[in-house]
Amino acid sequence: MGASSTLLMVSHGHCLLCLLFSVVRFIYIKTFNSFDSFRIKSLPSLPSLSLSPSLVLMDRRFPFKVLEHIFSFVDSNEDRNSVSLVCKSWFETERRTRKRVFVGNCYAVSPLKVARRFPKMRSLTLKGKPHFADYNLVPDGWGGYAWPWIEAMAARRPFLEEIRLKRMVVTDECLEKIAASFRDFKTLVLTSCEGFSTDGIAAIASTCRKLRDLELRECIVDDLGGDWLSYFPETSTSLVSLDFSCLDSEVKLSDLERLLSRSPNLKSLKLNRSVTLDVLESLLRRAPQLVELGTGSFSDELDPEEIAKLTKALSELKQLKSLSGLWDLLPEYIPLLYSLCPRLTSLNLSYATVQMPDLIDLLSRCSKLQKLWVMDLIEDKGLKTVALCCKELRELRVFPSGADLDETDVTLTEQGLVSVSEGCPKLESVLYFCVQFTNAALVSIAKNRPNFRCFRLCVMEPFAPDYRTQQPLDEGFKAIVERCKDLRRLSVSGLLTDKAFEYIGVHAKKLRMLSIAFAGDSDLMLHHLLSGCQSLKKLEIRDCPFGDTALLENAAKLETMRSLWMSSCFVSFGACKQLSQKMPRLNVEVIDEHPPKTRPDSSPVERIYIYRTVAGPRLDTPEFVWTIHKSPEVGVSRLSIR
Amino acid sequence: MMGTVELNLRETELCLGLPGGETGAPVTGTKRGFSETVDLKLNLNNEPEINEGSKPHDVVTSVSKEKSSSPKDPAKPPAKAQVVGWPPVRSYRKNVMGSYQKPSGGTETAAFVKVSMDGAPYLRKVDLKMYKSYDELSNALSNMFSSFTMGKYGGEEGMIDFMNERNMALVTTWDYVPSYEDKDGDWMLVGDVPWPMFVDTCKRLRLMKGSDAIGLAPRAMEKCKSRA
Repeated sequence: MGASSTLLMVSHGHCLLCLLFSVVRFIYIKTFNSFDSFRIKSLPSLPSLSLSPSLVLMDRRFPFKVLEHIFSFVDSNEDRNSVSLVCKSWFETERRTRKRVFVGNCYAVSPLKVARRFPKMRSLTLKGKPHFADYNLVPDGWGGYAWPWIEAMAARRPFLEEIRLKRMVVTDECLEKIAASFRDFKTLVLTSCEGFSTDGIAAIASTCRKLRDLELRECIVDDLGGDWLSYFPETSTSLVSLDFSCLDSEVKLSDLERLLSRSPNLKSLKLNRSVTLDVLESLLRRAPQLVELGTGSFSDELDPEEIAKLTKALSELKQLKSLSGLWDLLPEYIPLLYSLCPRLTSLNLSYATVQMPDLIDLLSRCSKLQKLWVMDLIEDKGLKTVALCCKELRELRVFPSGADLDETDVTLTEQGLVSVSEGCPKLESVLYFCVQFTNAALVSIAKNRPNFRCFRLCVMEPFAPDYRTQQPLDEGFKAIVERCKDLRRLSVSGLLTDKAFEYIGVHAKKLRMLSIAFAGDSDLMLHHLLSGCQSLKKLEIRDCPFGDTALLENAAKLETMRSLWMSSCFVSFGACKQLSQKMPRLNVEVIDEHPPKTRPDSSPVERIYIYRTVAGPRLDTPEFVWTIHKSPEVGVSRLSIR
Repeated sequence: MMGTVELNLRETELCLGLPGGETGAPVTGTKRGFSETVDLKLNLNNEPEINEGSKPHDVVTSVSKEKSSSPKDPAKPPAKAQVVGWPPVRSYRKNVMGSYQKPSGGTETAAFVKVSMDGAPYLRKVDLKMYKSYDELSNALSNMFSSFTMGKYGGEEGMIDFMNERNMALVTTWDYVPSYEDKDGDWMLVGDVPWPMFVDTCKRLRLMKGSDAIGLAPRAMEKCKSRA
């Protein structure tokens, strides 16, 4: 306790230093949960302080080493962002120690600035297109190019090891640049990206000698064939995870077998659909240490001997916790998976077109399951089984199969979700597609499960009211936001009036992301949200009947958010101009694939995308995107320097 | 009831075509967006007939929407920009959905039609080629919708008797009357035409509440004659 209490006693008149030190101590305590005097003693000795006031100056800094050591325990980027705002020296120290950099909107800041600010950066995560791009609401060519970032990092940060990109356009050129520039490159994770071909992947495979993770998640790849797999070095690889489930073409079995044989560290393997069931056994034999497995197609005809061998190979996967793939899973093959079930914490059946009751036998064995993705073929019955057997469940996603209107009768209703909310005490994240819903169900769900952090309900019929009472679903969603105090993400659907959004504005104080479609009556709806939801960072709206007034009244709010997307709403061109001129640090993008010949202020725009930025209007807009200029005389500028 | 409902039929009518093309009375902006995003999967509220039936709330909400939404008519957005993204499922998954819907075989010979029943929350689909007569179809439908029928003429007899002309007299007393939409888009009573012809011309089936079916019966025979 020595050094600190001495300081406090001696320098009672020098508040700033005390404050600084106690804040540093606070962070220390926060990180370690208890004041550990041993650690204080292990710090480099503090400079001795005499009583002379002149020695304790306002700008006296802590030794860099002290701060650096403390900051090395501050992991979360949110905390680091706060730390960097305390004072200049803290800013400097923080930026020189940050290893993992996250940029939620690639246009919010310039790559050069980021490269310069974080010299020790080892990992970069970037997100590009708005979320609604997943549903084809953002026209092709909008933007989100990875190249400027790769180029900037390649020139300045050659020690970069990890790059994770989401919804960005990545070219083969980018991949080749990565391979050529970062000699210790370890991790490439591309989620929902596009623009590259298997040639680019081959470049990564062949050149990055220390590659550990290569994951292509739901990317759109120009698939030129399965050769890329043979480009991994012939000597043993350091691969830990490989995910090529989104590729179409066949890879050569021998390439894959040999790769597995020389990748002793491989823990996660996700095959693509063209890997057939008859070869699975041979692959698994070479990688019994797998923790995550994504199979290929699960539907070929196997003879009894093959089935026996495969069953055995599967049962040898003693460490397996996560299972996915399972394309076209045939009911008769479900028993093969039984040996895996007791250990599974994650199961993705969303590509397995298996129906009830075959699913029950599988699910009832998965008592440790934490994450379950299925199609609505699971029906209410299946979800009841989940509620009974999967007490550890944290995340549930139920996707539409399109089968409910098909020849097979699939009965997935709101009751399914109610059962799971009753039976699974740890459930905190839900994505549920359903044809119709009721307020009563929502109220039950909220009562059962106030610990929701993510609640996304998609009532597939737009404007569908509570089908029992014919009322809007306002009261139901009110219950959700009232009771689930920790709600971070919400998607609403069904018939909703402005009242629903008043409730959300009043109660959903921790809500960060909200998605709305076909809802509301007037500008009040948007006003409630923008004035009420304090933590709101991302708001995306489509096909709602309002725009101008609420936007302009709450313009300041938009600078506290990452982005706002509105499409097919009533936002006028004039309002966009006003908004842009009012808020200097927002980019107001008008996205119009079929712009009118003249643009009077009252004309509506197809889509707007508004985001805060310190980088000014971007220079890579295509011809259908206009960034509204800040100066009223100019009106609209289309800066497209390519 | 028919009178008051008719006033709003125009507004509530959701058509699959481009706005302003046919009736010249564009519905409100949001509804237009919705009507264009509807694909075949979301047919539950698409038919004007269903609107007039058991869902009074649709009428109410569409009227209120008309009142509250501003009169400014957005420039007609092209259909392409709005017939996207609903339900919000990634294209990856859409492919799975699409491939699931393909029946395993014999697509060319199947004759699937959707069957809706007033008041039931789901649509069903039946393959008409699987049945050889109206009786068989009737039994199948009774089984399918047995949980919803509470008719006086319940389960065993089949709630629907297609074959006889005496149907027309009994129509008003029965709870559900089968009607079908033919190739021309007209709604006819089931049972008037020979079975093979029915299978050929039937596009979808609807089990209407008895009271709504008055007025359908006569046209069937006329049409039949005009085709013969």
